[in-house]
Amino acid sequence: MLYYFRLKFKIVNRKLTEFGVHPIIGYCILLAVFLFLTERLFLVTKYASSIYASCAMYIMLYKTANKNADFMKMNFSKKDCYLIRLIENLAVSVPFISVLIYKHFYIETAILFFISFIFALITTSVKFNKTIPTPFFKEPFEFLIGFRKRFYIILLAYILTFISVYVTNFNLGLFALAISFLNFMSFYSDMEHPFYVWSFHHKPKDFLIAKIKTGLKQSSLLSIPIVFILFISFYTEFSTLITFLLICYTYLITFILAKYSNFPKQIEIPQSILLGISFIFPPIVLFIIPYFYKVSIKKLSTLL
Amino acid sequence: MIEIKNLSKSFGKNLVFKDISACFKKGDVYGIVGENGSGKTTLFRCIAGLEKYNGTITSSVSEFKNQLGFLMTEPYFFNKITGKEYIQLLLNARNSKVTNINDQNIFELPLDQYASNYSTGMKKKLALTAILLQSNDYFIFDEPFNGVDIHSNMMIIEIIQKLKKLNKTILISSHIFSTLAETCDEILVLKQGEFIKHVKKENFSSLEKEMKDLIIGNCVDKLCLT
Repeated sequence: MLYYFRLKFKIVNRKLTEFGVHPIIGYCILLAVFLFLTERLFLVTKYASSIYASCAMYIMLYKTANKNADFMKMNFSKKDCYLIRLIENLAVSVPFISVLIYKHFYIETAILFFISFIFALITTSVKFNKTIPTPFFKEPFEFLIGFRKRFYIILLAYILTFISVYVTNFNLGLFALAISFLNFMSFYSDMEHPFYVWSFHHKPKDFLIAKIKTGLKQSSLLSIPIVFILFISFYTEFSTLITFLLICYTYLITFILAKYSNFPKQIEIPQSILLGISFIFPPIVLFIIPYFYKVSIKKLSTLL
Repeated sequence: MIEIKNLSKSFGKNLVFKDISACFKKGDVYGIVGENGSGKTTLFRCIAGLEKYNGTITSSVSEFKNQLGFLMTEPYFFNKITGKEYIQLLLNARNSKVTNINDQNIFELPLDQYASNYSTGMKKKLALTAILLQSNDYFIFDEPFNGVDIHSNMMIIEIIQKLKKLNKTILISSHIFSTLAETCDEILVLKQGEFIKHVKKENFSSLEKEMKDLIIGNCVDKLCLT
């Protein structure tokens, strides 16, 4: 069992190294990001403790449905399996629990601690095989897969839009639109197998244009209800709405280009830094887009 | 026609090929055989342009890649994408218009289910269906018979024979000699980074025994089986 955890630790270290960062620095960055997000969350909402505990539970639940459940069952005793899952759950929940204790949210702490034990007992991996229908059959694959994996975020954005109308808060409506587009960007976070890029008959430039066109078309399809409702309900804010929508489209394009600028690898530190800067200082996208485009063309030309 | 001249490929210090040459004529079916790790898949990936190499690989058609259907040993599938959507993706990639995908589902695959949940054999059949529907002129089948049931094996043999009649060029790798003997016009034996033999169809009967002697030799005797 100890060897299992040593291997897990090695795997995480290797992932960080592949990402281009020394493991120790990686852990420091992760901790800093975690603490920063924690502080932000507790500053912006009074429901932070519940959201915080829910995040920890979501990660644990996600881990419960892991793909190596059969491997675990075959190679470890029932008791060891339970112990491993418990230790993994505690490893996930300890940072959250520490902050909750520090902030004096003892009920949430107790619930999270209890849930860590309960989730360790859940042995079956949840498999939802039913095919979720989508409107994107004709043009796979990013929105087709993304919609099926994270349709609940789209639903959440729609609900937030309705709430924004109900409480007449235009900014909340814009927040819903931002959530939608962040969700759409996440559809492009995984790099496809080179075979799929190789299969395309396009030249790199046409390939990128086709990807951007599809992205804009399909993101419009999903965001139209939000834009339409906000337009009807806050028509005096029309220009702000359109400007915000254009900014969202620009970021989507930036993200698509950033993805292929490191092809066939995933987005790494340099791309992440540039994307991060663009979120802090938006006008820089005007320089980042041509840069990512140029690098993407170069990277894709090895296969196309 | 596909012509390979002085192809060399290495991964770091590990040399896979050294100056190999071969010519694959249009309308013929070629079998590539060799032990595991002999470089069959690497050769296919070089031909497809998925690997960098030294030497030249030329073809008689322009934009060869766009007329090549590549069936990989272990086709890769996205999660949450159905069989039909996978086919549609590969058709879009080549700008092929096929409206009746369901009618051409000859392997009777459950096309409305997620492809990632298919069995190994079903995945292979799905990947094969997709590249066949793309209407390519050249095909690379990397171990097409592995993991596939006997009915489908027979079907794949029929498909290869039909593709040959349609003047398509096909390269196949397989460890099942009988299937190669049934489908190929020529078999090339790859060993230690070189094509050590080119055998025409009329000499296939002696090839199996020769290969056994050449590749296996008395290796099994080294194993102390009791």
